[in-house]
Amino acid sequence: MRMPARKDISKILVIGSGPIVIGQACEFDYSGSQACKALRNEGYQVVLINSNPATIMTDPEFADKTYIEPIEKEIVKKIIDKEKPDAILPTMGGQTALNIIRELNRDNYFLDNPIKILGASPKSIDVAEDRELFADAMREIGLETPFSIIVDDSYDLEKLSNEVEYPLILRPFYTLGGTGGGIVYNQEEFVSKVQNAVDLSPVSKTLVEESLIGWKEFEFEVVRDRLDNSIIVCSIENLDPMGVHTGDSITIAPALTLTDKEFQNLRNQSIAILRKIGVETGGSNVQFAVNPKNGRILIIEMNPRVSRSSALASKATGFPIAKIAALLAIGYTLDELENDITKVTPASFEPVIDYIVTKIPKFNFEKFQGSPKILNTAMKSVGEIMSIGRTFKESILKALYSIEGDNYGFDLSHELLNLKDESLREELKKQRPDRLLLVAESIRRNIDLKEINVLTHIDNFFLREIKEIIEFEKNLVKVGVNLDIEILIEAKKLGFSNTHIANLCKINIEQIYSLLKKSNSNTVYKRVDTCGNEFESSTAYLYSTFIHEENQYSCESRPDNRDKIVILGSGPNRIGQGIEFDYCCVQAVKSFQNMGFQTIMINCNPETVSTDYDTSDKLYFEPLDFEFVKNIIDKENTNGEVKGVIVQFGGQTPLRIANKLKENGYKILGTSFDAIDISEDRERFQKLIDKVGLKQPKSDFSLGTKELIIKSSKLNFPILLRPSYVLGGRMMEKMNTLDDVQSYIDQNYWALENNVILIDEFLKDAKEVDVDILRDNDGNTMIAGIMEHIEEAGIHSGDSACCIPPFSLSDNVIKTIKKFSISLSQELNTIGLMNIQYAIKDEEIYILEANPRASRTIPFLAKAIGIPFIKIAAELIAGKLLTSEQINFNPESLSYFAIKEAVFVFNKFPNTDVILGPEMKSTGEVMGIDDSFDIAYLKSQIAAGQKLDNIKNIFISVKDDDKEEISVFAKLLEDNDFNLYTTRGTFDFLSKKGIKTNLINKVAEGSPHVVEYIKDDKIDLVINTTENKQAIKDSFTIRRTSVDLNIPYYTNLRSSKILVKSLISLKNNEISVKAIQNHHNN
Amino acid sequence: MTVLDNQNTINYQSGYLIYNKDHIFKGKILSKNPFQIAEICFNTSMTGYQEILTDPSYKFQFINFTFPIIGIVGCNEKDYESWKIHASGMICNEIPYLSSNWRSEINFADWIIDQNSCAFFDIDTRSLTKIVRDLGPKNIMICNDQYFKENGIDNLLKQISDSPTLEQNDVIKDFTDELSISKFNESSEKLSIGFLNFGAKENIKQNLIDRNCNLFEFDMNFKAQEIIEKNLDGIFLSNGPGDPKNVYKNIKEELDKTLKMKIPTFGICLGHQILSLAFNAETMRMDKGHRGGNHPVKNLKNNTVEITSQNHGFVVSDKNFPEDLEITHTSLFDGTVDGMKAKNQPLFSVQYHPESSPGPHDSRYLFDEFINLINANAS
Ligand SMILES: Nc1ncnc2c1ncn2[C@@H]1O[C@H](COP(=O)(O)OP(=O)(O)O)[C@@H](O)[C@H]1O
Ligand SMILES: Nc1ncnc2c1ncn2[C@@H]1O[C@H](COP(=O)(O)OP(=O)(O)O)[C@@H](O)[C@H]1O
Ligand SMILES: [Mg+2]
Ligand SMILES: [Mg+2]
Repeated sequence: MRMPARKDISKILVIGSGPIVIGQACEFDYSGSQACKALRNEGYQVVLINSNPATIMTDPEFADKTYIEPIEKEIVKKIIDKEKPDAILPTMGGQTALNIIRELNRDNYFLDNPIKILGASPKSIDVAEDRELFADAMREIGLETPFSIIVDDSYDLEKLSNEVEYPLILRPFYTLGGTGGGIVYNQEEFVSKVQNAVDLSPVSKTLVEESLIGWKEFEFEVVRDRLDNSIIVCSIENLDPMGVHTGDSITIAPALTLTDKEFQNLRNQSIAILRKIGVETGGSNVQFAVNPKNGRILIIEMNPRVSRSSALASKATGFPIAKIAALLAIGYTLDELENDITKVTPASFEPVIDYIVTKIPKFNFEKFQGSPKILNTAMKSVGEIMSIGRTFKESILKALYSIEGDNYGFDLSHELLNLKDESLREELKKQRPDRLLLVAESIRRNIDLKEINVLTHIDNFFLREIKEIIEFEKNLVKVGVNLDIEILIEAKKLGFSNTHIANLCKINIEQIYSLLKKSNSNTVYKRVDTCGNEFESSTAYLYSTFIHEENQYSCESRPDNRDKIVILGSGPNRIGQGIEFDYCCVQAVKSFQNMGFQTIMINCNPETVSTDYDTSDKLYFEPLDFEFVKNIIDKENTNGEVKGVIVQFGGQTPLRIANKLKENGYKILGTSFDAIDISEDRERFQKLIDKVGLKQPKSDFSLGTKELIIKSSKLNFPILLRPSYVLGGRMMEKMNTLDDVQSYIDQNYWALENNVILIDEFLKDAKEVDVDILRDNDGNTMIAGIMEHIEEAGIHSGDSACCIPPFSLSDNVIKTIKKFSISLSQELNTIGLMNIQYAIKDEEIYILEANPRASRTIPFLAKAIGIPFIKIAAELIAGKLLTSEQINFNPESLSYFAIKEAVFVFNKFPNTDVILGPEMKSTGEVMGIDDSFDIAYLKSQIAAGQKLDNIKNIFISVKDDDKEEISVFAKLLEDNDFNLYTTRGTFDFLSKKGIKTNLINKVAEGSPHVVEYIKDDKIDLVINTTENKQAIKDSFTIRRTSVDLNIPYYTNLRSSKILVKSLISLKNNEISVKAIQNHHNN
Repeated sequence: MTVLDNQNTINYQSGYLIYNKDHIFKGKILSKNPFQIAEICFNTSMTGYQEILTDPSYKFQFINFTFPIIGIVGCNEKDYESWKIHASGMICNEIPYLSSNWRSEINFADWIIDQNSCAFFDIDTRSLTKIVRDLGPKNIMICNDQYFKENGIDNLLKQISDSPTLEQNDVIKDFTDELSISKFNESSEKLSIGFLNFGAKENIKQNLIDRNCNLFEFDMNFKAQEIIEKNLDGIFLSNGPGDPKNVYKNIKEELDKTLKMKIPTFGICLGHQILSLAFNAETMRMDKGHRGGNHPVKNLKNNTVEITSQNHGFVVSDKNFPEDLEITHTSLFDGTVDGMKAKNQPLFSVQYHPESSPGPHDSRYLFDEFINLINANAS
């Protein structure tokens, strides 16, 4: 019955979305890798471009040719020239991919190039992306968009203020994170606020729109085929009303508060919009605002591509939008494709779901000091989790158990607990990231729901459901030790976890288990089957729920009589733990499958490939919390046997529960829990280090803040402080003086108080090195790679660029590092992977830390070198031994350079300084690979978003220690006739060296000063290193302006030096592209 | 069920759902009557519970909603598909006490009581769906605790097995007895449609009226003569409850006479089955039926797919399908007949519900085709 797909194309270029940034995360790795798989299954050749080495899709097996190169117009042209694909699929790579098409189209590239564009045409992309064209298009089909005008300096605001209706929302163009945006309530405010918005916009323009703050927000996920068959895969309701970006909103699937009349209306409009915009095939997302008082509908936008919400919709329904979209793009129609999950029905239907899905975003505001902790129309979240429950209450509670926040369930963080009711009301009005918890607290304090609804505009249905939970919370606290089975069952039905109940009742969790044993009430597993159980589902995509009367049909887990491996995922993406760990989990799953195990994946992150139901044999979409993991293992052990749990590939999240797993007698495969403990326990680690004969920076620790000052004063400044047991160097700060220590205490009191605080002496000007090493049961080892950081120690390993092979380490140092690494893994008895970080100061080697688990860098190594390290590690964990070839592998033997660079989202967080330190701040990474070190570095920079194509005017202002060194490079630049601009200090120093530069004012010295130069884009590149607090303060605006205007800036001497070299070699070489498969093969 | 101490909670009782001796569910019941017997079916729609419950086709049926929360948006005057709830009752996982939607006029639970209907909830409806799917539809009992205790399970099981099946129940007669036919009002400039009401949904009428039709309504006891005298532009046969054979044997003669006139004719659901029977096709019971708003139907004319709203437990068999008929639509779920047209006269019908309500509007074009058929016939 299947028609053959398009025969006129055989080779397809798939464009990925590049580094993980806010608004574009691993959901596009999920969609992209699905697309690649689908297309290759259909016999097409796939050429992939994606600069992000942490992705699953860039694994060499996913495409015939994989270009880990900057996703940039000219580079893409080069790849097309080289590969001559017949078609481009641009709808899988988010905004990045669409923009490439738009840019090429503006160059009329497609006029004289026969290449076809699948999915959406350049024209339809333009109409969808351009606000005005879009509004016109909507008007033409009789649909409404919010009143909206673009205001610039030319407007007479006084006059305008009479013509518009209030309230209005301001959305200035290209201001970061929505700064300058806001609501204008009345005519009085109009002129000043609009003027301000215009001023703040780099292009002096702002949108002035009818404010829909407080309206309901809905998203519809539509799929359309070439015969104009359209289906709604899923509807999504935002619990946070309009005003909070959908990416930052708690969202619910399906939409719950619409009558059928309203729902069908939105459905019809969604389909009409796809037709009008002209999305020929594939998935799109339509956003609506609905007035809760009268149902009036306005169209917010549509995205003619798969998106964050289509990934969510796929996970929420079990309908693989990206995969289907890819197949539709090559000519299939919906009825020709089968429903993957049931296998008995076609893809041409609308999934029905019989559960409630909740998505909660993950925020990292704490890493961006100075930026207001308020949500608005610009997205701020760095990750998300999804939960599935049979009721909204169960779903939202599970979501809270999944998010790995600082506090449990609906608990409020300490500093907010003693808010007065009045200020609580005030806070409710703000769109805070933790608003849901404030709502819960308000309910606890019996603030009337009607009032909460007025303050937050959250629909009454949701408020009442939350109230139910809170009321029962109180109930449980009241009952306490007298908890009986009736109340317990009620609590479980509401969705409370045993841990939560134990906390509230202040009883031992064992009591709860024994109470439950006596009843016929159980945690069971239901299937996500796209059809509400109308058809049998052969796919084990499962979620837990609680049943008070179990029958033979209640539980659909159906454990097989097989040997099983449980792999724990890494939960929500956050700074410090992201897609790289999902890559590890997915690779591990494949490896264990090949070894004949049944693989069981547990994870709660909807953006990932690991939560694709066809990645593992069984998928449990559950919180990565001990209790939930335990329940799953116990269930699976009722038939067949769980051979062990793998905690090595999911970053820090699985390690958190490793302890409990061990205590409760569950087998952890690979490195023992003890080794994990040693690496995290200061004293035990110290002993180990001594034994191995390694050095460590002088260090101490303090219990709570009391003794911190004294202990600090005993060490040589600068020192580093941080609470123990944190990932990504959270709250890790460099202290130059005791005063710094005091203000550190004042700022972080709550986080520090009941915590061990670690104190290290800071190694100045040390090189930092990352090592990944594998070890098997017999003690054989394999060094996967020694990565030399570009930036010096003191900048978090996740934030600094790193290179293989090392470019400045002496052979002796490399030899010694290998020796130490091997003996460390021997002592720790690691099985599988370990990552070690060293600092090298004057040829002396210090160890910074060792993580006996998969690292952030291992995916990079796998792509750069072309060896499937994770697959091997999984085999070692299963008991296999390293081959002699692997043991003797020498990572220095590479004939090319691969450089991993970090990518930052400072542009979303106004007013925070961009200087890097020991606390990790980057969200993503890119890779530059080339035979030449300079070009590899340059590629990494371009891929990271730096505009380096025509640099002419360079601003240099460096701290005194750096002046000597920079002068050498200033000379180089001068010789290659770049124009140099400097401020006084640097100017004088360079003049002495006979280097001519243009002197310009510091900001303090008044106009015309450097920031003005930058704003008038007289500066193409900023090199600015600073030391002490005052200097950092003074130069803040220089760096900030550079970020805001997207002007390349370098705040570190070592990277600046390498950049300069690269810029110069670019003058006489031009960038060429090469697929990693080709790099690997010679 | 929401039980908030600061609100007047609604008075549900604990009760039982008895499918057979092996499958008894303890849950909560909302009803004025101690017990209730009817045939069970499940519906997968995620919206439109008010429309579904007021669809007369559900007479003598308990509807098990697969969607876990029913009642969030309350009920209102506009969303009735007939004058009252016809289903014997509804079953779901959870019912919120208060409604939340600007169109709501009454809370769902209150509405159930006002309608003297029955809601059974707080059970694992997903496994109930599985039971119905595997063991098939049959009469079941929903009763309250007291009734359960007083009679004991054995008597209750007997009571169930003694109760008349859907086929034995003359549901169509019950409906017709209750139905009050709206007065004819002549109108020259509109198309005159003979509307045979066997349990029609309001939205079918609405769709015809919106297309400038004037409806002359008849019930099951219509006389061909009356219709012919009026020389109407078209005839419509509606959806309705029960076994199509029962209805057909009541109206066979009159219908055959009417159809002989070759007046443009359109049928929906039961109407489709009756017309098929009139052309000597066979109808039969389905194992579990089609009830939901996501059913893909292939339009064999232009090869496109319609997402349709469906509600039927009987179907027209494609085995020895009559010569004079042609299959126009089939279900992409199970290949069953979803639409037909007559080869030698202006007549067509579909098994699903183009008027939707609830459900997708993809198939509303069929009403236009009916009008076109009438106009073509006139010229
Ligand atoms: N006129 C408006 N009034 C209030 N909120 C709005 C308005 N327009 C957009 N928003 C909010 O801003 C968010 C982002 O707007 P959108 O146009 O979708 O931009 P993006 O392309 O970043 O998704 C929306 O999800 C919505 O919550
Ligand atoms: N004693 C030290 N001297 C200089 N830099 C250090 C020192 N200790 C740590 N760092 C820097 O801080 C970063 C984070 O420290 P690390 O112990 O690796 O924490 P995490 O567990 O977050 O990776 C390191 O990558 C390194 O750049
Ligand atoms: Mg949007
Ligand atoms: Mg580290």
